[in-house]
Amino acid sequence: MFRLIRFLKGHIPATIAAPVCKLIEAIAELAVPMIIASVIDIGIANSDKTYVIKYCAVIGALAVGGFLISITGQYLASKVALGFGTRLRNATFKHINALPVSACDKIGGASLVTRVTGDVLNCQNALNMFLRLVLRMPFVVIGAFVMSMIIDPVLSLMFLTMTIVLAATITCVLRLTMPRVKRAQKNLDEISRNTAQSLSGARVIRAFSKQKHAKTEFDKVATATADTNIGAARISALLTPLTFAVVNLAIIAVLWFGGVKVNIGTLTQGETIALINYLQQAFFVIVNIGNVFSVFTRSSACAARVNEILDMPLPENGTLAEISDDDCVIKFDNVSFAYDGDYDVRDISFSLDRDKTLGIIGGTGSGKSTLINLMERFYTPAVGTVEFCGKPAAEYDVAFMRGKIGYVPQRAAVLRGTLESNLTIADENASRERQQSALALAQASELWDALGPDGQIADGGKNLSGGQRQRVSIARALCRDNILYLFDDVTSALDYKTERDFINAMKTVRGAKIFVSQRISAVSGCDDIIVLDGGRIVGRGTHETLKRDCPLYAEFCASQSEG
Amino acid sequence: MKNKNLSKKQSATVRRLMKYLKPHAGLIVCAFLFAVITAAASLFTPVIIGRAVDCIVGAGAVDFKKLTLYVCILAGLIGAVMLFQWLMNLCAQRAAHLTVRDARRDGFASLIDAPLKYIDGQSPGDLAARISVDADQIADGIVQGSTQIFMGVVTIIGTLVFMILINPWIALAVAALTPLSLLVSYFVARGTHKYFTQQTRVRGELYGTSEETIRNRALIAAYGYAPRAERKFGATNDEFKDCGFKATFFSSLVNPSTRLINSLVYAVAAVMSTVFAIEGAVSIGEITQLLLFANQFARPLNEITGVITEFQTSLAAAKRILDLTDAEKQDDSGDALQTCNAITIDGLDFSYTPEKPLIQDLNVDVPQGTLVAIVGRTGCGKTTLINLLMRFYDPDGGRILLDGEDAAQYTRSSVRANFGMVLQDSWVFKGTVRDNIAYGKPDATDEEVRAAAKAADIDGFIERMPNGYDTVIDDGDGISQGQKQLINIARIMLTDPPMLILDEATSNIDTRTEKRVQAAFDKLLRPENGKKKTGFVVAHRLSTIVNADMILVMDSGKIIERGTHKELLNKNGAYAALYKAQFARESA
Repeated sequence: MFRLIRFLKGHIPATIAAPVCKLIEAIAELAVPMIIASVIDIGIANSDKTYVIKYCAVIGALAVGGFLISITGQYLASKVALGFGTRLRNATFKHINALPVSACDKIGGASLVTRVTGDVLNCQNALNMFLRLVLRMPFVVIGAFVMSMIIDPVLSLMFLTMTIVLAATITCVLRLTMPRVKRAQKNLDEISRNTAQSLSGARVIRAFSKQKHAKTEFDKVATATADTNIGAARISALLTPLTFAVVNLAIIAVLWFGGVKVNIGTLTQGETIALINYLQQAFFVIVNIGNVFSVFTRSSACAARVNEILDMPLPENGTLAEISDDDCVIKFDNVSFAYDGDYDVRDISFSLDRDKTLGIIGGTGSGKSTLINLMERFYTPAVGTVEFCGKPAAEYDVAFMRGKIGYVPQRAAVLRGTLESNLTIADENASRERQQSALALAQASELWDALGPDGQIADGGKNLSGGQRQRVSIARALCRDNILYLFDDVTSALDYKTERDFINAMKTVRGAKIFVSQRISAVSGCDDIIVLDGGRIVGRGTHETLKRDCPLYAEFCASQSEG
Repeated sequence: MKNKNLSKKQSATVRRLMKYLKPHAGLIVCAFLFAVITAAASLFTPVIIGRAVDCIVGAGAVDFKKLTLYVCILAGLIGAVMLFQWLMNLCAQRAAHLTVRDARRDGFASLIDAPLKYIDGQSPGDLAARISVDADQIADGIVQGSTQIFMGVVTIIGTLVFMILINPWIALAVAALTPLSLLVSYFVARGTHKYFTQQTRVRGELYGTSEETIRNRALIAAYGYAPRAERKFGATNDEFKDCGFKATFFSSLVNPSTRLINSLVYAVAAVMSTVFAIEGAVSIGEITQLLLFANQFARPLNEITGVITEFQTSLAAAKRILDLTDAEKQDDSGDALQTCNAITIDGLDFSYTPEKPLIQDLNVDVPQGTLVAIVGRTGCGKTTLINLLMRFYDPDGGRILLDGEDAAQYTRSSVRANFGMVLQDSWVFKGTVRDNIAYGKPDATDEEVRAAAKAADIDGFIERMPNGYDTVIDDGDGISQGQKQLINIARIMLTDPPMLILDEATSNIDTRTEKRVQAAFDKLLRPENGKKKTGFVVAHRLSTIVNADMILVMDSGKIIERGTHKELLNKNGAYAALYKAQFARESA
């Protein structure tokens, strides 16, 4: 957690000043019982009304002063916390963007989002709380203890005992409750899962008339959840009564032993009252410690998760930023690669010349998209080299190299915004004419007519059909000139006629093109076709030769056409 | 206090919630009772402490006899508070969680009994959230409502009464000043509300931007979009810094400002009580009592704002889950249909929304043993027809005849039992492979289950799983779409219904698994020994339907062509065009 301190830069004075303000406020608070004691012991004893009113006015003044200093502290703490949070959030977001795409695989996209939003927010809130309480809490407890020592060293032992017993009680109850609360949380997830499952299976459940069964299964989970919660409550409900008992037993002890001491004249009545007041002041703080502790435990876990991101090394980058006029655009030389463990693609060698087309066909999991990922440098080959325009890909500046490749991913991605803002992702300055002609090439002219450049695109392109999303994604790549185009299964959501028109239109676009697909119809017209199976190349040639020589390719043909 | 702050809508929800609380009324009454006892007993503690302080006046003037008595009473009070507070919590928690369980049960049951029309129109994530997280919120509201509010009221009234008994003037002063803190916290809270709403909105935007960026990170990397994404994120982040600061700061004003008012009240109480003490109207012990009461009086008032907010949150959550129970329940009355094999669709009309007619005057005659293939573009009404056959939806006009009788006269369940249905989205539930296969026939023997799996060509895969047929599977991981689909087919193999519906059953599967699925279908439709089954196939890939007895080409809810593959090719119409586009490369 403390490693994140560097994000406090520029806020150091406020970071120190905020707790100090809260400390001063606590001092003002601690003075009150002492003043009341002297009012009782001196003011009332001497029937001195002026004395009484004067000191009570001091209590009022302390309250106002404490208030002013306290809100100054709150102001500074909020300022520091938000400054820290904003900086940390920006840094984490930026770092995530700079990480290799593969970093997502291990942690998962959803978790990355939680880290940059929820976890950072938790750290920010914890910092705010820390600044407010770090000095105040221990000071009130220790201060109340010291004050009681000054009043009576022997009776202050009572104080110490109360603190220890209280802390022990709270810890015990929380320890016993925690596992039950966790179990309840798990039950809640189960309820959620069960409901989601029953909704996704709504048709099957009805088709088999299993409604009753579904209800009984849900009943079991709901009842188990209620039982766990009631069980957890049985123990957690002990917390308040027990702490109440501890502090009041301490008061009883002070009353009794105080009585003995007052009787022999070593303590006054007012001092006894002050002792009781200090006990209560400390009590309110200690009761909250458990709360604060759990906030800090949680936020330190959050900080660790954020740090995990910030610690991930940035990928190595090359410096080359010019393209030679080599004839070969992309070349794989004996490339093997594994996401995790076994090789997912193995011994891949091929090359593609300028303005030529290459088809890559294979079943699910045959390694097609992996090859694309290697060309885009989302991943680095474990063995062998990938060359781009005659130079090893690793030597290029990655942004420069990607700037020469028009990549259209398998899962069409569109961003929230307008049609134009989506089309100009590749080239900020693409003209409207260019956008329009790119859409035409992608067989989506009707989209331009229907939406216009300022037409709104919802998050994830929800207001477009799958086929429309895919064509916007294609048009985006065509909005700038590229040396190489990578079409990763981009026609899967298109009907066969549109697919054919698209492939024909691509013949008019300059640049080498790679078409990846499961469909024969998408690759059959390519100059060269690679057949992948289990991560290896099992056939290479044209449609005609493969149909004859490659059994797998022939099988694909058979299942997709002459079935 | 409670009712004044609730709007009409909320009190309607309260009334509905009451219905769920009723069976647990005993527990609630106990919780109330214990709350009163707890509050009363804790009220007496300051009184006794004050009396005890009065026993220790000075050196040689301590009344030990009385002090012992008070200490014993105090111990008794502490014991009582401990016991009853615990019991109160137990009762309230028990009532709360049982109520939540019942509300969940009803909410879930109405989802299960609702017509599909209802479910299809809602986000599944939202429905699941209502039943899980929202329902949980109700519990907090019930616990708070039945303990805190009640205890608070008793404490305030009790404190006031005690203070009046000691000295009416001081009581009056305290009672007059304390609401000030309520007022202050009310104003602060109202001011904060604005910034909090703003903060929540901007936080949602931050979440949206980062989620979108991270989800599309490949795209963003490929096109060097990161700097632009960061600029956008940074701008939202700055906005968040601004409104987040305001929200944090203003909300942090609540505690110091109420503390200020309380301290001022305390000072006033101290001045008055000591002055009265000097005049002999109040004892020193009573000063202690008054000061303790002055502190105690403000607390429930300060807390009550928080409690009411919590209560309102729970009510909003309760509304969300109770609204589910408003869903119409689909009736399932009628005669039980035995078996049927032939279907006639007679002048069928249907639309999801009245403005957009979908299926209009559809007529098809499907004799026993016919395999019907339905083709057409997305949205042409293929899946809708399946929904109507399965009676997931009811037609707006026309009839579906089963062996010549109107389907509407039979129970839905008995009609559905005649169809084996496999959809594009295969479905497995969390449970063993065996339970998943035996879903439609829970009393099937192991041999029957195995035979069905073998017929669906999934037996080998199951045997290789860690616990064979006892392996627990889930919708999420471990098995592929294709394997899930084969389990769905095995499920149908086991029940062996007279008719079949296959809706895009292979479009999520890779080509090689598809062949196995296809083979399994063929076995289902054309069993080796039995008679041919009546079947409906909706497919994307034409290759799967060339063997159908009857092909229906649909467009905008109408059948535009019908016939066999050969007939339709010869006709050289819409079907022929579709077919040619698919195999364009042959001619290219």
